[in-house]
Amino acid sequence: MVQVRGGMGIVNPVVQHPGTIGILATDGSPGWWIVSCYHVLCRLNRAPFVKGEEIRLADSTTSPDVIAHVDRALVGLDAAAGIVAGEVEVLPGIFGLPPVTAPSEPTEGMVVAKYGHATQYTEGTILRVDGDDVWIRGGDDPNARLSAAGDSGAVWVARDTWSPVVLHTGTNDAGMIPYARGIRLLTVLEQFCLEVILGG
Amino acid sequence: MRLRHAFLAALAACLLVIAGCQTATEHVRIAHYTKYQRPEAGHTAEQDALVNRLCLFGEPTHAPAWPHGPTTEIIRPGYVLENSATDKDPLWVCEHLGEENIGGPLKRPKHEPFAPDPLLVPPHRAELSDYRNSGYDRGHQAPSGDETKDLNRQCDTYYLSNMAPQVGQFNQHSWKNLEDLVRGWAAACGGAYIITGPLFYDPKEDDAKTATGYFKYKTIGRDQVAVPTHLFKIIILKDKSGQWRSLAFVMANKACPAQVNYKDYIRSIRWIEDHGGFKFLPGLDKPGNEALRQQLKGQAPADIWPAAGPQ
Repeated sequence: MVQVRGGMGIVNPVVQHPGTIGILATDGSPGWWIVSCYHVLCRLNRAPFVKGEEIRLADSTTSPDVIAHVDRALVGLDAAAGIVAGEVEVLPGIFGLPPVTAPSEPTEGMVVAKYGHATQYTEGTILRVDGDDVWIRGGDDPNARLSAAGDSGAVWVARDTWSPVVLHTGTNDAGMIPYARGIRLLTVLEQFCLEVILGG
Repeated sequence: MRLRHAFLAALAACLLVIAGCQTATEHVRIAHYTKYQRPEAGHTAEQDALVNRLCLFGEPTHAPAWPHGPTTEIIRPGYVLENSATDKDPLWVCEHLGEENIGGPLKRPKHEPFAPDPLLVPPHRAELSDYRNSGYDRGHQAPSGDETKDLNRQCDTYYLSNMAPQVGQFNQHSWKNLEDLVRGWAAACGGAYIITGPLFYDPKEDDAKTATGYFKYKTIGRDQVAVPTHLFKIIILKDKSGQWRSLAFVMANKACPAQVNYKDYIRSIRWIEDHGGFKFLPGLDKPGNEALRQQLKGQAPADIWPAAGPQ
């Protein structure tokens, strides 16, 4: 049986650009949800999406099965959620990270970590929170990559509490150092009426 | 009637004087505080295959703390490039010369299909109007002469994302001759990897006595396409014994004699990295590659290769 968990690589075969499952969630009814970016699950460049499109694991050579279907989308926040397919086993938490706790507010100075399809485990520090927009900077090693193409959709968690805080949406390398960019996860969950599956 | 004509003439003269007095011009500057972001979805499988084929030891990356501003990666069957939204030039263009493209029958088309790149959204790209009456050539980075077997791939070289403004006399003679040399080496050695791109650099900055910490450059057109001060070309291939060899050139984007001694323009890849803000061949950073990395990037040959390639 195919298993899915936060941190795994996924792709919409119509979009073809892989990203990451951010987190697994529930809406209170039977069944599970994956949360990721709109430009991973739905369409690039904010084009209209098609509800029900299939989502597969990114490494389709080993698992060609459909793992979810796109259902909800917030193009303005670059967030989307899909219903996990019935025959897929859902594992709580995020690959490579300790069990997650309840989501919380991102705050400036918070040390965070994520597991993404491209760069796997990386750590950063929240530099700025401006409404729902979050900037995360990397550590002191200028050669270390904070994120890369394929990490879209990963969820940053607070490293001291393992509380999910930010949905990773991209990078801003217009300044002297590249920042990871993301969206306040609580906003995404509230809009989708979803709750994170705790543990892992 | 005569009074009306005199009034209109005086009005026109006033307008001309006012226009001549205006000194403010528009420029482009990187926005260091910005809500702009680049999504980080991954490559398609096809794109991954092209990058692996065209970018030896990986795609060039940015040097730490070097602000290139917003950029867009463009991947096509004949080249991979990174376009700068602020300069409207490519930062670098990677290609592979081999049996798949050189030595074929296609000639330079009579009506050259220059066009803005449809994969770039205005205003992040150069337009045809930017080059019109600018005094600069649309200088290919991946030359059209490298694509002689596939018309689509040849046409792809004419997108303005693959161009930088080049002084015509330089582009049509000494730079073109270098492109011919490179194709010859690729043919002689069974293939070669090429990285080409613009540089913005002032030699006075290399000397503490003359360095000021800034330099001037020009732009053309309404979109302010940056005119590079120099162009670089990096060639990496295997010699007859199967060893990787590299040779790199940096030439000033200015008129120069049609026949030049290319030995005078040799630089190491590391020199280009330091002056351009890149890291080429990033795959060589992995442990165990120190010797090859130093050999290919840290050293510059004393002379150019013979026509038959390095021995």
